[in-house]
Amino acid sequence: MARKVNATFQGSITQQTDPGYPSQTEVIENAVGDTALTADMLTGDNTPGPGTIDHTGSGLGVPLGLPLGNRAFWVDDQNNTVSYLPRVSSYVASGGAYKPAYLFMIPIYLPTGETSVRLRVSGINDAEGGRMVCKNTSWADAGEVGEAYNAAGKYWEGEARSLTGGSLYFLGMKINVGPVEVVRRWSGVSVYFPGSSGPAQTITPPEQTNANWPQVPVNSQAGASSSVVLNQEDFDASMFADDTAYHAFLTTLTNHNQNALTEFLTGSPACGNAAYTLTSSTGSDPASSAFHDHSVSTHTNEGELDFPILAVPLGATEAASISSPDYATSLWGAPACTSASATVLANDVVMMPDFPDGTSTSRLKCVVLLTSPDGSKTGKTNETIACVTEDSGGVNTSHSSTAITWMGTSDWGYAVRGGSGNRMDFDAGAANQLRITVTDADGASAGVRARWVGYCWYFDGDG
Amino acid sequence: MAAPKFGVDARTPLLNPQTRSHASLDSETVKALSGRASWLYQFATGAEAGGTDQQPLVPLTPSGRVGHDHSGPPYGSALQHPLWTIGGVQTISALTRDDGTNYYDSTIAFSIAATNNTIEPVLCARFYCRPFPEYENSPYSRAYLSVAALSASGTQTLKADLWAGDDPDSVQSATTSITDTSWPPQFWNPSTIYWNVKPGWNVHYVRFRCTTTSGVAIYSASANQIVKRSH
Repeated sequence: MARKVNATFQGSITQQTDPGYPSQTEVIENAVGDTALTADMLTGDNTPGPGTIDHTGSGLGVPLGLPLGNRAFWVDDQNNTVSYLPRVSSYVASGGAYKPAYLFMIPIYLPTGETSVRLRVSGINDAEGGRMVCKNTSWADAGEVGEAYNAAGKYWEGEARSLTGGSLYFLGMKINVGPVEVVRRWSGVSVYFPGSSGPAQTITPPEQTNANWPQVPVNSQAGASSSVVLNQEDFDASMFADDTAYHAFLTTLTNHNQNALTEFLTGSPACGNAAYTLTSSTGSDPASSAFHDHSVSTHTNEGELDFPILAVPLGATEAASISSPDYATSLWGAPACTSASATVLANDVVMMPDFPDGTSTSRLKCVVLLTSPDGSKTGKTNETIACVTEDSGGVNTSHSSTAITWMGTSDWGYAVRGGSGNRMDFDAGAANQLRITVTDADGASAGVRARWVGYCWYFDGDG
Repeated sequence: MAAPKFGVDARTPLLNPQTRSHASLDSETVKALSGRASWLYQFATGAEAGGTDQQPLVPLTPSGRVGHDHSGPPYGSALQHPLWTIGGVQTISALTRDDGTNYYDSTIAFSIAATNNTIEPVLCARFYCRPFPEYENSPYSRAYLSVAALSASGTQTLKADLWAGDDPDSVQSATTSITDTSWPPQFWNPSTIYWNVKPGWNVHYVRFRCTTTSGVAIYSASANQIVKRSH
C-alpha cells in the first residue's frame, strides 16, 4: 500500500469548495494527504518531510514562551527576626573613580525559536544607572540590549534582542560603584518573554459550544493499560487515481480522522462532544498518553522540547580584574567553595514535566556560572560541578562531576552537566529535588577562589 | 467539567449522515474536509496554511502567537513545571562570601519552632505567568506548593498558609509531619491547598508555622503547575 500523505501542505482554494463549482478529486485527496501530514508531524511517525513538531518555530510549532525562571527572595516575619532580602551595600572603599560590579548574573538557555528575552528585578529600591548585560559563551557582548528603571513600580527591567535560539547566554545587571554608599535590595528576579500586545481571541465557553450538535465519532484504538489512544485510518494513494470515484469510506473516515486529531492536538473534546473519547492510562506520567504532550510515551518519535525549569542568581561580584571587593559589606556576594569535597551549592524542589527520563534518554541539563575574582585563572583549574536528582520517594541519583570551561581570555567560566554522555535521570510528572554540588581542589586562599555566580536547569530538546 | 472548545466555524465536523453512502456530495462536505485539514495544520505548526483569506484560520494563543502553545486545553495539553522557586542550602563552612562569612543562601534555610512563635516566616513571590486560557479549573488557574524541609528532632508538625496578593482573605491551610532529621530534606507536596493564578504578573504569599517545640528547617519551596488538562 502506498499511504496517501502529502510531503508539504497542499490545501485547496476557496473557489474549489464553493457551491456550483465542479467537484474535483484533488480537493478530497489533499484533505486526506494534509490530515495525514499533520498527524505525522505531531506524532513523529513516518518521518514527516517538514519535520516533527517541537515548538522551535518556523512551521514546527510556535515557541512556548515559558518564563526561563522566576526566583523569589522575599522572606519576612512580623518582628523581622528572619527578614531576608538580597542586599548589596556598595562603595569604592579607596575613593576615587567609579568601578563596575555585577549585581548578579544568571546563565540561561534560550529556547530555539526565541530571539529576545526580558529580565526583571522586582521590588528593587534603587536601580538608577543599572545596565543590562548579555554575554555569549565566548563572554562577548551579545545582541542588542536596553533597560529601564520604573521607580514608581519598583522594578528594573532589561531586554536583549537579536539573539540566537538554542544557545547559552549569561544575563545580568551591572552597576557602577562609587564613593557614596548605596544599599540595594530586591525581592525577585524573573527571566521571561512578554506576552501579546492584546488579548487572545475569545474561546467559546463549553455550554455555548454546539449545544445541539450530535456526538461526532473519534477514530481511536485501544492502548496500553486500558487507555484509548489516537488512531488514524490510512488511505491508499491509488484511491485518488484518475477515473476513481468518491465513496463514503473516504469521506466518513477522513472526518473521523480529523475529529481524533482535533482531540489529540487541542487536549479538549472533539467538536460537539461533551467529553473526551481519548484517555491516557493515568493522569501523571502515563505509560500510554492519549494526547499530544511531548511525553514520548505512546508516540516514540514525538518531538522533544527546549523547556526551562529554573534560573537563579547566587550573588554579586566585581567586574573583571578588580583585585579585591570594593563594596564594603557585600551581604549577598557570590560564594566561594573552600573544600575539595562535594559541597552542596543549591537545592531546589520543583515539579518536573512528563518528559522522557532515565540516564539514557533524559534531556535534562544544568549550567553553573562562575568567575575569577582576582582576574586570573592561574590555579583555578580544579573546580567541578556535579548534580543529584531526588525523586518524590526520596531516592537519590548522583550524576558525576563535570569540569569548568573558561570562556576565552575572560575571567568567567561555566560548566554544563547533562546531555549526551552524561545524562541525568529524574522522576517524570512528579516533584523532584534538584541539587548542585561543587568542589574546589585548588587550595587557593579564600580571597581569590572562584566565585559561584548563578545556575539554571532546563531541558535541551536536541541534546 | 468538560474542557472548553473553540467555536464551530473552521472546525465544524461533519455528521455521519453527511458522509455515508447515498449522501449527496455537496459543497459543504468538501469545504469541511478541506477546511478542517487547513485548521489542524495551522494549529499544529503555527505556519500559514495558505488558501482563503491570508488570515490565520485559528485563534491566536493567549500569548498572541499562531498555533498551540500547551497553555492548557484547547491550546494543547499543559506541561507540568515550576512557576516560581525559592531555595537555599545549609550554612556551612565550606562556602564563604567575600567578607569571609559563611554562605547562607539566602532565603529560607532557617528554623521555625513553636517555642519562638514570633518566627512565622512569610515568603512572597512576584512572578510572571505566561498568558493562558482562563476558565474554571484550567491547568494554569492554580499553583500547588512543594516544600523541602527537615525536622530538628523527631516528628514535627509543619503548617503552611497560602494566599494570593490580590486576595488576602482567601487563606488556605494544610499541615504535615516532618520526620527526616538529616540532609537531604524531606518532600511535602500538599494536594489540598493552592494559589489562584492569573495571566501576567502575580504575587503569592506563604506563611510557615511549626506547632511543635523542636522546630523545622525549610530549605526550598516552589509553586507548580501540576496537571495536563484540568484540575
